[in-house]
Amino acid sequence: MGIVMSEQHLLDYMYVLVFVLVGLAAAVAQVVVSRLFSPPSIQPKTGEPYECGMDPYGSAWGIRFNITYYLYALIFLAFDVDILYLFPVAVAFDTVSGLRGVIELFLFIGILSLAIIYAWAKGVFIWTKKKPAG
Amino acid sequence: MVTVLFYTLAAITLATTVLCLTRNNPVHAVLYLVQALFALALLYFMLGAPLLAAWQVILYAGAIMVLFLFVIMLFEPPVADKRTSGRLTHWFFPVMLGGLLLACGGALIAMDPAAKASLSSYWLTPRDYGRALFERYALAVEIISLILLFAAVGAFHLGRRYRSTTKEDVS
Amino acid sequence: MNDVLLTIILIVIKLGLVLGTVLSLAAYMVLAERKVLARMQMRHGPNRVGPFGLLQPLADLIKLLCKEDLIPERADRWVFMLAPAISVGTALLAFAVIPFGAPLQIFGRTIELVICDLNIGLLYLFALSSLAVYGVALGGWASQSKFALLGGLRAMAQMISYELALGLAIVPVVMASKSFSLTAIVASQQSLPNALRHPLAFLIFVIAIMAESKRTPFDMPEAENELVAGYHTEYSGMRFGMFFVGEYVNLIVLGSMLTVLFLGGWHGPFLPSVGWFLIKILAVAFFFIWVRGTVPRLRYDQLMAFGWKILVPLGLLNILVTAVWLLWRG
Repeated sequence: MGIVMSEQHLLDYMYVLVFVLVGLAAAVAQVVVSRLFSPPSIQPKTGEPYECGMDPYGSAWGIRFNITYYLYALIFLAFDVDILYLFPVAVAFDTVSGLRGVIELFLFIGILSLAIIYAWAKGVFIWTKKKPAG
Repeated sequence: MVTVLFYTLAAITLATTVLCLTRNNPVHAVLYLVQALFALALLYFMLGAPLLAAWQVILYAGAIMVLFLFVIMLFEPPVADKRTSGRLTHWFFPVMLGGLLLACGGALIAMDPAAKASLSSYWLTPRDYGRALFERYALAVEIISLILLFAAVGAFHLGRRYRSTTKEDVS
Repeated sequence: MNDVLLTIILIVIKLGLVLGTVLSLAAYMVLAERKVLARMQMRHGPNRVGPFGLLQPLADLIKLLCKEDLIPERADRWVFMLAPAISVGTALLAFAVIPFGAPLQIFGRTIELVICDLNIGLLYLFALSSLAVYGVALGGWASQSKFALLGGLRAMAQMISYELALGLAIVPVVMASKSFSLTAIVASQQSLPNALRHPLAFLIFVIAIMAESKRTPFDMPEAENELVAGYHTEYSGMRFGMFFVGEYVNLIVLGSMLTVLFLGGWHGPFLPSVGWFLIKILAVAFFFIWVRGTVPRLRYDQLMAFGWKILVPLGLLNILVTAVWLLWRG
């Protein structure tokens, strides 16, 4: 450790370890207990995915969904970085003398707001309606 | 103790990265990569950069990997071999590595909750870090925000173009 | 040696209390939700098991334990088993940093009523809430069922969108309290809770956590009339139970986040601090149930548009206003 492990450290160490252990035990225990009690009754159709009683049609893996989901994830990424910069800046906000800090913040947020405005103008937030087949 | 933890975490990072590269199933690969990123985050924490560790988890595991997952969910993964799916090796690595990672994390956070102990002379409070970002590197931060803007705009542009060509999408 | 023994006993007591309280609170939250909802719909709700139906959670537990534990044939077995554990784990781990009372003085020792006071506690919570996405995403994907996959996708997109609003609502609080430590944030609200100081951030935060917990006005991922049960369609028995418990533990976590960040934490007159903390969490939970009984579900595109076109811009604006206000006040 490089430093002497004081009592406080030992205490915290125990906390987290016991917390993790109890959590794991609880998670495992309920599955084990249900194994003991639950009646296994595997019918030919038991293992099929639920599709309102119809025979499953094709696989769920590889279906094509709207790309809008992906665009949301992208804009989220850009803004997540934004927030991660805002956090430390917010903590130190009072240490930076007055006007300068505010102007920096305005610039930073202003530039990033452009991303939302662009996405808005480009219609990313509009879900295109699928044309009915045929 | 720090040395032991360091090498354990380094080994976990390496092992998970190798496993990530060798998986057939892309979702499993992403899960191993997330474990590798966790191990890295713990290493940052150990080296006295708690803020960086939090960012690593929030940004890489919480945002970039989610982006990957969105893409990967579009693929059809290779069909799992029925014979191997119940075997020991199938679950041994994930459980082992995950457990080790949890234990290391617990030990680390418990030993010094403020991440102060190891490299005390390089230790930086979140406040100092924010101050440095705000004062010395203000220009860099503004430039980064511009780059992010460009990246987002570029991505939207590409997305728009392809979006009109997809036909059988489900929302 | 005696001292070490005492310390260990203290640890076990504290952990047992926290875990026991949280889990039984979660179980009774389910009952409370059913009861309150029933009353709002002019019904009685569960009232057969025990006096006033108080033993209902126990009966539910026994039922879930005795249910067949199915794994769909084509599912990805290990990811399928992992997903509910992530859901519960991320929710439970959050309690490690939440301060639930003023420091206690017993036998000349000061006992901090928080399990681990990380100096980046707020970011720890934020990281856990960003990891909670994996539980639903993997659950939805691993089932290899179309309903589950669509539910998982929706949940992912919704959770990441509202996580932004959540983060943006936290920033003004951090600006005012100058720390990421939750204990420090609670301490900074001794005179005035943050809800009054930052009303707009409070509003955004409440809406964002409602969406994060995937509860009624925002429960698109599990909209039963179109997606069956969303990402946990294929889960049964105790695995479904874990998703369910995780959801309610998450409700308590989000309630405590709201309490710690905006409602003054454990500060309050007359009553002991832990009492105030519990009262505040229960009030938040009641409010959530009330909303569920009152507000209809949003359409998915409206939900996403609301997050991005209203909440995020408002959050950004709020940060700027707070900055100017802090500058003007000096």
